[in-house]
Amino acid sequence: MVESAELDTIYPGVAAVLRTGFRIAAGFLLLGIAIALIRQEPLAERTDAFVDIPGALLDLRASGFIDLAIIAIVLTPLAAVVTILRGFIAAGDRRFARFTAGVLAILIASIFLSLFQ
Amino acid sequence: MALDVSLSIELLIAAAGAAVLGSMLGLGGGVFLVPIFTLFFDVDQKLAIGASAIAVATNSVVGSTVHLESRFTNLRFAMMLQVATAGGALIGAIVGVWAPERAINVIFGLVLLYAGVSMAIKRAASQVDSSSAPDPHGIAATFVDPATKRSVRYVPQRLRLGLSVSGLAGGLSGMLGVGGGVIQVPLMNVLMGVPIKAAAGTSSFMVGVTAVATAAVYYSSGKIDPRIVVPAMVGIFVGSQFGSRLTRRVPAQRLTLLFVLILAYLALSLLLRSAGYSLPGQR
Repeated sequence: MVESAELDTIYPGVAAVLRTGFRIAAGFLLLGIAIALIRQEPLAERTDAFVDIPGALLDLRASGFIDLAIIAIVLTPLAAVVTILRGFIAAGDRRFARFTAGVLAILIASIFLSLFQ
Repeated sequence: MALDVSLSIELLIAAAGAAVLGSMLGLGGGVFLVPIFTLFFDVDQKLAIGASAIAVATNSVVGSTVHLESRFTNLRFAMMLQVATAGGALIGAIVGVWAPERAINVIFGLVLLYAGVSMAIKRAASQVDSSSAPDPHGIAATFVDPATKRSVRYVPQRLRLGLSVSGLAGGLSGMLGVGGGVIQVPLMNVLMGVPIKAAAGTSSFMVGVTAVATAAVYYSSGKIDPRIVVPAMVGIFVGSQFGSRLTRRVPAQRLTLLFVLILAYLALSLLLRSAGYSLPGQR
């Protein structure tokens, strides 16, 4: 198994996903903080249910944007794992694609729990 | 409840301080953030752990891009260990959400004691030279050490032990909201023969993935409080930027002594708290 050549394309891709995810989360967070300060809106004591987030965004409530920031930062490593999985599959590395798929399954199971908040 | 700006700023500064301490040690901010939030700000323990999990994910996302670009992170090795770590974190988080606060304080105190003792005992760098070892599992990796400009090849050893301890690290991570690096890095370096830079780089990426499982469980249990999470996220991000720069200015011996004392103090505080006592200055 040639280690370096096959993985050369995966590393930059994963780094790019992490950078993009952080920027999205930071953008939502800054927006939420700005709205909270401008409108003198107190931060919520708990996160909104998923179904309530779109309504909060449409109402320009800080809670909606802050919830999105939290969700974005939590989903970013998940997106990185998906990128790694795609990379291993493209490289024909079935063994490590299976490991990565296993990791992804565990993470999806964790997130599935949060859908029933 | 009205927005308490002064409390949010205090939490942010505390989180930044935790991140500075953590990044100087290579432990991550979570190890310090949860005890500081609970002992000095009377933040509910479960909310502090939930906030720490989010902050750890933030720190990992930001910090691991550098390691990935330097090829310190071994993705094959990381994914192999991550199965155990993420699984452990999911179970640990489910247990942690429902476990009594006193039990969590005892476990956390013991983890901090372990971290302090590990630092106090001058452990020799890994003597396992795996540069020319066979690679039956396909997890060998190579990186260029920027300090020596030389190419370093290694093959992680003792995989079964590594998987077992990774599961434990994941369980503690899920239960306590820490990144798990306090266990993972010594595991990889000392027991598995992974060079320290590769161990730190691989761990830095793994803790973010592990934090996903933890954060999801705490989110679903209503233990994510934006009033705590927002200052934690911002503070951890800001503090971690300064921590590594400060490390270069402080003599190594003084650094070690300082952190051993801090870890011992926090460990003692949590253990006393589990028995119903508080040290002066704590809430």
